[in-house]
Amino acid sequence: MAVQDNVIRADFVSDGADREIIIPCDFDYVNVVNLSTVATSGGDASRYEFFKGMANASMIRWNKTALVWAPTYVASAGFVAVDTTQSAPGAAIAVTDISNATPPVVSTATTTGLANGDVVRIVNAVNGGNYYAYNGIDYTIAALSAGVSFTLAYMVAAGNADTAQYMRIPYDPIYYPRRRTISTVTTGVTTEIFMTVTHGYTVGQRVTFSVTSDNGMTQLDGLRAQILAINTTTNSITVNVDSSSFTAFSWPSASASLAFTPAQVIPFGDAPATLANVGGNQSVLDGATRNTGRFAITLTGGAASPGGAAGNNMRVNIYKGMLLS
Amino acid sequence: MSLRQTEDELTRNMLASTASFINCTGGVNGDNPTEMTRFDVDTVIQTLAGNNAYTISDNIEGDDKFGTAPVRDAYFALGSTNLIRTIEGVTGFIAKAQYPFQSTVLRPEWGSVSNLRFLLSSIGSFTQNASALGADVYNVFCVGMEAYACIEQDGYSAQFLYRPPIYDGPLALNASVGYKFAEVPRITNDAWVINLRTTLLA
Repeated sequence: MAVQDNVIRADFVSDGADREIIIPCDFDYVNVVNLSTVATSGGDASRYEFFKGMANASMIRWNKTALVWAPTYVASAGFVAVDTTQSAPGAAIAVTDISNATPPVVSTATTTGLANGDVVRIVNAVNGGNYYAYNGIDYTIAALSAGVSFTLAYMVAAGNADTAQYMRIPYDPIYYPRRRTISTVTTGVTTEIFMTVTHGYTVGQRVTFSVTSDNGMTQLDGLRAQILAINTTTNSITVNVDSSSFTAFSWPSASASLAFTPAQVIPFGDAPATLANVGGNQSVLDGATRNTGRFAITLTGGAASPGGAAGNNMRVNIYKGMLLS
Repeated sequence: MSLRQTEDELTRNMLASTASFINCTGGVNGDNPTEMTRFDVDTVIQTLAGNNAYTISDNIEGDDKFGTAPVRDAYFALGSTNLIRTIEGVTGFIAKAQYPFQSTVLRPEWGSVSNLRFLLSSIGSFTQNASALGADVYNVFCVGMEAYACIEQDGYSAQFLYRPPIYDGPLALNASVGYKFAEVPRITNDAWVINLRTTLLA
């Protein structure tokens, strides 16, 4: 028996799209009322319910006919419970080829649930008994062709694997800014560093690097730098390091037993608010400390879904009860 | 779930998100990272020492007792209890029962290798399916003195709240218990903490 329920209420005007409601804790039960349609009759779907434990995307939808409400279980277009503190990878999906191109093209017959911008992890990339450096690393994907292929958007060519698996990674690690894997480096008076997953860094943040001999450019290892510019198209940062004389960045070749440490960008310390404050010794806590973990409930948009149609006034009640057993 | 466990988990997640890592490469299980070996332990110790990280614990001098061995001053390695078999397989492992003196042994400690003392927990960090072959990768946070901290905000770190039944309902049937935090875990010097990533011994 649940007693002393705590209720969180959220009102919004729908834009017809999915709506995420962030909540301060886990939940037990959600109901949504479409205030714009609830007074009408004739089979309108104006009430929606979701209990913790129900399958994600499902809902109990109440249809109203001649003043009589009737519930229906619907498996899709309903509610999705979000807990970004639990980032279990999705199932391992077979890959039939990873091309030796920049960016690498990943061929697979199964792309269900993927969208451009998602993050996947490649494992078991192999060709003729040799393992590839793609393995065990996360990548942002692009150029998704349903049931055919996608690209590892910001990765460079690292060999041609003829079998592999990918797993969808649902959420980033919860603390921002995050460590990222380096895909390649462009040398110069300032240095441009490209990463395999959307980095989310900002100008002025300070970073350091970990680069072993496996990636060639060991001169970058341990250097501390400040981000001068970011490029969201190429997913790169430009830092105040003169790398003109550095050896080239490269990926290790495939081998029967490929164990290595990939190169990383590691954010550190307190980021100065502006480049004018290059000392960066402010006592602010916007370094690697921001907990972005969240509980949330996503309401699927649409006239017969809890997110509502564009212009609908929606009311959400979210309950957390104390369970007596 | 307890207040202090939540605090530990938040700190663990912060270290997993942002600390630099070294993959174990000295093992023979064919994965990347491999299982932990003495080569990998030596690599991380050399890196921390090269970054001028202070060790946390003092050495334990040898003594005339059967089966004991001196223990070096050491950095701490924070990991999962799933690593017990893997760590015990590392060359030079000294179980804590073999320490000459037990007065400074910590309850979660499992043993030491060279200048690294291993503290294990059932909530130790691991990343699911993150190795080259898709196995779980265990994150062993090797830390020097004051490498990270929990910074209190708003005058307190955490509060444990208890409302007795008489204040919690008109019939005084139920009590309420909870806790809340106002603290931030953070790395104070990124050169003094290294995530030594390992897979399990085959």
